[in-house]
Amino acid sequence: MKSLYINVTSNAQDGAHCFTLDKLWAIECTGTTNAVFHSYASAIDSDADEFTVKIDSGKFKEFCREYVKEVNFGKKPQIVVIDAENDVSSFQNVNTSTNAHAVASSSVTISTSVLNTNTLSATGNSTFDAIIKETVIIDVDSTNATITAAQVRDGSLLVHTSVTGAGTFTLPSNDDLKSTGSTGGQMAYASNNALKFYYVNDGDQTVTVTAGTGGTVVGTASVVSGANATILVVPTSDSTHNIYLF
Amino acid sequence: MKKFLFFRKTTGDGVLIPVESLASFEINSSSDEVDIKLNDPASLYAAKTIGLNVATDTARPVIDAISKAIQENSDPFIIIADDVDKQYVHQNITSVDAISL
Repeated sequence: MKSLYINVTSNAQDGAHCFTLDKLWAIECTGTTNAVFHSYASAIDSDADEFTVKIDSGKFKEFCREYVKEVNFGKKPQIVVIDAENDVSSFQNVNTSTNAHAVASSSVTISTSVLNTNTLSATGNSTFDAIIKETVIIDVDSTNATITAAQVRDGSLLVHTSVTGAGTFTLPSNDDLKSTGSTGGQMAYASNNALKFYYVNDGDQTVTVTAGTGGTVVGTASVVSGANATILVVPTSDSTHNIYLF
Repeated sequence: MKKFLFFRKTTGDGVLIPVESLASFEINSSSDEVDIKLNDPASLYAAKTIGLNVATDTARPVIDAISKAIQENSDPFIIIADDVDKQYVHQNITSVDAISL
């Protein structure tokens, strides 16, 4: 007994269908690229028993000839109409590439923590048109400011309102930046990733950027009143890093 | 051998049915159309129909021709009516009217 295998999504075998030939009562062309397999595999006439397979444009007749030939003379007991998981079909006129992308459009929400700290990965046919990194604004109003590793996110904006006298702006320790510290860090330090964020001195005093344990400020460390700086933290070993102000 | 019937109105509108899906032929009151009813067990009373326009009062020979093709064709792919390529199982079929599945 022969059967038909239909898997129109590339997401492994999720939602694939397999039914015997006698459960198919029609193949309908509903557009130049659509062949709808009508079955009553579940004995209920519903959308769940209709499977749309993408074919080459205008090739419905050719596809039907192939289908009839395969049903009557094919050697394989299971006829693969479309296997989008592996991009294969028993028929030349089935468009495997189109079927592989036939997943309904969907949206994905990416959390702030993923955007700033982790790796986002995808398998199969994936497209990322744009990922906008969320800018976290940290506002500190004091002469001396110490920020935590949790506050230092890649792309963060640190606004420091310096008052009274010359102050300091102290960055987290190396351990904290590596996520191993008590405050929790924000970057995969050991993989040699740099961390870049922005500093604004909107106060009326000069501020000196100071490194935490394991860090070294290279070059100019001061930011005068009303000035901005881009701060780049570059790992130099598992336990040390350099800090550059631009 | 498993035989199939092919109907096509346009390049984007057609159907292939196994012979077992055939349920009945109905001739309309004007005798210029044959409605082929399909045997869909899940929807016995729903409109699953392929309409063929035929020359007036020639429906019966058209039905005979379809039956003969099913019975005698050595090719399991049987073209009943194809408006695109102008192929018809009988000369009195003028076009495919509608495919309603």
